[in-house]
Amino acid sequence: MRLRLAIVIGRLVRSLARARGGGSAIPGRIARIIYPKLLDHTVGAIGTVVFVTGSNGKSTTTGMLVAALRAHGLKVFTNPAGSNLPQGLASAVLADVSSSGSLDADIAVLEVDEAYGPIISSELEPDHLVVTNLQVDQLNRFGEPERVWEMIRVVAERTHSTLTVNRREPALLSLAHSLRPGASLRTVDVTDAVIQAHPFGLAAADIFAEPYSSDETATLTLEAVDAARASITDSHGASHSVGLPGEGLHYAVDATLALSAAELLVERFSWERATEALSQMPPVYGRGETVTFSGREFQLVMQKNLPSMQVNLRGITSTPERVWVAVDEGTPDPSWLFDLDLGPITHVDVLTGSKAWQWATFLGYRGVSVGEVIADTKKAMVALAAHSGREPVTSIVNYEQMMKIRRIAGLMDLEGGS
Amino acid sequence: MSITLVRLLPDTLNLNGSLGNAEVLATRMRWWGVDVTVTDVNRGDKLGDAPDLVVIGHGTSSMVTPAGAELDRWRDTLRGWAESGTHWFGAGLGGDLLGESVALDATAPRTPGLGLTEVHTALRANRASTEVSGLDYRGREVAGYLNDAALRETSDAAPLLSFLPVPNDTWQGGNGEQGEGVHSERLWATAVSGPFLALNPHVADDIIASVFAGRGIPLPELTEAHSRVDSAAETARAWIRSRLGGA
Repeated sequence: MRLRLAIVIGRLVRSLARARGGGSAIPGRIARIIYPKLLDHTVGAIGTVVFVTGSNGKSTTTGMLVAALRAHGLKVFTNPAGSNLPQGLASAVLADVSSSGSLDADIAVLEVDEAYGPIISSELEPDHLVVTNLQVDQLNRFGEPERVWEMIRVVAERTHSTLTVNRREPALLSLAHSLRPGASLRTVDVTDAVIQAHPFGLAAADIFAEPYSSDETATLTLEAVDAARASITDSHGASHSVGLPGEGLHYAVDATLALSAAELLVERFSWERATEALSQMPPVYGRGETVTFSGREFQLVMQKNLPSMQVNLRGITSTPERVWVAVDEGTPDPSWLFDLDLGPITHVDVLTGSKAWQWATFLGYRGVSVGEVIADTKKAMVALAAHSGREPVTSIVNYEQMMKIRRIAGLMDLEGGS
Repeated sequence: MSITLVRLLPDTLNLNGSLGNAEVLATRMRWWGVDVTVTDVNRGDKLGDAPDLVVIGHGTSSMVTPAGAELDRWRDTLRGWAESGTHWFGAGLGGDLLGESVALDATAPRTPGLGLTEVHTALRANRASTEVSGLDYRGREVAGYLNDAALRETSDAAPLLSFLPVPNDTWQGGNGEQGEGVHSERLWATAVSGPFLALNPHVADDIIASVFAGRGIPLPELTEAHSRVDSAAETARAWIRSRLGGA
């Protein structure tokens, strides 16, 4: 009865929120207050539940796994990219659930925020857990990666069947010590050649967890990455060419993990279907996206944390014509800038946002010239649009500034598209 | 003039831009035309002659044991460097390891530090994660981001580096005044995150002035490059102060 009430009220709030163009988390929050077991009694009733968590690549890996499963005819329940907190999951349930509380799905694949994993898994225990990576990320939120590792370990402890990780991340392998009896570790591998070909490697957090020596053969091995294409070898030694949604080692590792999980979850796995599905995935939201304002293109380079920004900066191979940096309180502590290799960036035309002067200080020590500081995002875009030049403005932005820029450019859709 | 700067354990203690402090010191000296040699000393390396300056960065809690073991192996030599006039800057855990001891929490076994300060540190207490603004030991403005979960105890006589509100009240000592960090004649240690010296270049210049004084050379006038970054840092500090509600 309370489940139905939670669904009815949650949906009502959802309709009102959508009519006002509001956010997607409130309906889920309200539904969970009315019925705290919402996730367990809806998603938990689906035969198989998969969690995808980790520092980076959660949305990409989840999207890839969902695409591969759907390509095999499975009905998949999932949450929109980034809606990975309990209320976001509950809101996703409200969008799809019947009034009696059932979800028409064969499998649930959920992107789960690493910090909320313990809470979500206390309400809904996963059958399978995929951990993308553990990187130094959001130190202002977590303090240190050891704390994130501990939170992921709690989820691993509650996982019923399998844990899938990249065996080149020793800290993630050590999660196997926490698996319950009957649950097993599955790994993917990345060859030395692939790691060495990428200057910043896997950027795995270097923490001292109890070592775990894995005797199992890797389910899949990432053998080569060439631009937006990966070569992955399966356990029978067959090699498969996989198209990626973007260039970079991280996308290739995400794909290897997603395909390994798909291979496990599909009865008659077809590499052809899975790789076709992955090759049709759109570019990941906000990564390398170009928006247009006043006739000028702005290419967005995300500044989330050191490892991901370093990877994103690698895409800049020659000195850009115009460079804009827009960073605000979404990055409370930009100290890690001093660990950054700026590559071919020798000048920044405009600095924007509340962290502009911290950036200016950093750039001064690196000998990078700075044009001007324009604190306001829209004024900066107006100024940059008036600058001469034909190339898109290389725009190094954090998530909050990216959302603001997209709104100013007239792009009103929410992340995840629905 | 040539100056030697050692980055101690950068393979282990390198978190969150903390080695930017070495970059700031070296760059400021180079802007004055000084030939600065920066040498990294990692785990397993042999120590060379005493440098003019040592910078040791921040690390995560699981680095206490490996870093502490290495410092213990080098203890006599490093203490010899300190006695022979080497200057020290420590950030976060690196600064803590310059002290008496570090433990994971109040009840855990203690890893001995180098004993160059009187500070005993217990990690994993209440964590503060916030911008901070206050004054340094000479009454000049300091600011930065405090992302710190350690409880530190020291004698009341130990001079603090910064006088500023520490939300988690984790620095006990310094005559009961609220603040963080410690400094002495040739040592500066801070709990403030990352490149503390970039935002607070007057502290960097205190360190450099002390190093130069050892060679009988006064601190030169600021160059245009110094003035440009110092002006940016001053505005950055002002914006932090403003965000914290200050004038």
